[in-house]
Amino acid sequence: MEPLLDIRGLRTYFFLRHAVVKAVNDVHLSVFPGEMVGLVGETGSGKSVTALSVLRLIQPPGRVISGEIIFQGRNLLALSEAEMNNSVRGRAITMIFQNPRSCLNPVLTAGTQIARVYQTHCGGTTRQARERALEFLRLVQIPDPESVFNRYPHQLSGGMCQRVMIAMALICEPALVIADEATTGLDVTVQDQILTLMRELRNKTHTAQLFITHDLGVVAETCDRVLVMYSGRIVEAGAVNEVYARPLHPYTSALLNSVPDLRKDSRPRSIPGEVPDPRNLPPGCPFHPRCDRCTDICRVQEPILVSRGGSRQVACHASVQTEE
Amino acid sequence: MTLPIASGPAGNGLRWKPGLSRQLDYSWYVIRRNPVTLLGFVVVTLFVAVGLLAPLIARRDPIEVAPAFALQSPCRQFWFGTDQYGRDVFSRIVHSARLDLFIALTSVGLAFAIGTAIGALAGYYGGALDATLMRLTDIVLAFPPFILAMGTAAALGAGTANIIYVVAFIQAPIYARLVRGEILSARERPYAEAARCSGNSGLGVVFIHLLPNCLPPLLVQVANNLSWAILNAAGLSFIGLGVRPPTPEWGSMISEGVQFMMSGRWWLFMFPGLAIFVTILGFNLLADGLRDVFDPRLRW
Repeated sequence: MEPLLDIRGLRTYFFLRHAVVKAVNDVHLSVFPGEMVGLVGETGSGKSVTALSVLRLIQPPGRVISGEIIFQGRNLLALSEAEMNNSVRGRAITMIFQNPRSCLNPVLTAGTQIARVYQTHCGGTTRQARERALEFLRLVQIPDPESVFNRYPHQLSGGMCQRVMIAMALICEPALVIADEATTGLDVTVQDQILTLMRELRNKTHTAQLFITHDLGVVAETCDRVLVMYSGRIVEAGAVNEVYARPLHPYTSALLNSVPDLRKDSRPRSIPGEVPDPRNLPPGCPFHPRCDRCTDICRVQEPILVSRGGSRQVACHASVQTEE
Repeated sequence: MTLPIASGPAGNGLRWKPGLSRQLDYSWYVIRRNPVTLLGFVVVTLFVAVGLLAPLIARRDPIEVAPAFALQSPCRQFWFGTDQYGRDVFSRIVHSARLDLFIALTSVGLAFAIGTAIGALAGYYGGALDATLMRLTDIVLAFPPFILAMGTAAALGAGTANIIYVVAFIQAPIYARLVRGEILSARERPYAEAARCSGNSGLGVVFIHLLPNCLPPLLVQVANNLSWAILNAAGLSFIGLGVRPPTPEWGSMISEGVQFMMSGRWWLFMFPGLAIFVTILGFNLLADGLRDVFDPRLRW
């Protein structure tokens, strides 16, 4: 099957006064139609920059240096700004953010904002847009949509705001929704409701979803496939149950070990060391200073992402050697 | 499956009001709460009412010459007396309010539109555009406002339309600076990024999403600038660069009146002076109060 979104060799750098931050460094990833993919990693690993690169919304001093972003057969990096606005942003690819309340315009009512997105991309009269917005407010299970339509974001709870954002993201029936830490700011019960809702919506609308999060639990609960990111690179990819059951990359296993487990009596283990300074990455594998399986080659040569059967991919010298 | 509602206003017993009516309720509450603001509000309302209803309030023609009644002191027939041509001072002041209201609204409206557009574009796009537009406004701001107004008015020639252009010209940079600052901070907000993500063009983001969020401090500035506009119009007319006689205008009425100061005809310059004083004071008091209305820290 053709992937819906195929990112090849994406590099996004930020050119600061005294340094170059390689926020996204040779990322390859693909998302298939109707698939839910999780993109996990620590803060600063380049998850959000990857998402913004897809929508071409990297602000200076950042810039996409090289790579291809093939979406529905077109290279997004080659499109004009007008084409991006008319046919991609908010239309074919939409985004859901963290802190839903601050991502909604405070001076427009929730309904107006949803309806506006629809009118901008799909046309129609104000009345039709209103009807459609109400329909989608119902779809995201907002009680009393008529009254929510006329409220301002500050009059809604965080969970409600996130539902409004989701309605806005879905109203033009996009092919891909990117959820950037969509549940991070919400408390766990609301988080669970939103995740259940997202899964239900996928089953109804067959919209592919790219879940960006640092929460491994969220990925386990919602996604079909998971991509692990570290220092601007994808270090491991594969089906969620396989990766969680048998992680190939030492970073992935360290991440999984750092999740507290109430069934076991052991304390969660933290990963020794710190995330490398993005302005000054270590030579070789960026994870080697923190890795317990580090060998000589890891210090000099950067591992590339290789296929390990099926959908599994890993970028690690040690893991490849053990296999051989 | 229906999800339980995490939190929501449904059934919490609060009566919900549509946005605008809530806003008006709150504005009225703030105005009422502070007697000084209330005074300002009353004066401004009175000024606007007098301006709108001028021909109904003062029945006498403000420019009709009646030599028989020249230089009458205030009496029951002529409340504010008459001038050297026998024109009713009260009627002239009332009609002048109408003219000044018109000048103030149009010039501030023009300044607001031009200044806001300049500031919004400069703030959002930054770079060379920002530098060019802001240096141009700096040039205008570098001059003392009234000197610049006099110079421009002298170059354009006297007349009501020219006063409007001159006042707009000296006020537009104030809005440009203010809006630029507001846009600079608003463009970094998450909702600006969200707006870009949903396919808004640059102009769409600026004028639909960011600008409405920058309005509160602008409206305070508008209330202040309305009073400056009246003051400038009166000042220019006083030195003969503004409204041309015989059209009544407070500034030109004072300048015609001062020649009778020595002979004790105080009503000729006192009443137009008081009119200016009270109106300007009203606008300034209201502007202070408006700051409270728009201060988000005082919101519920």
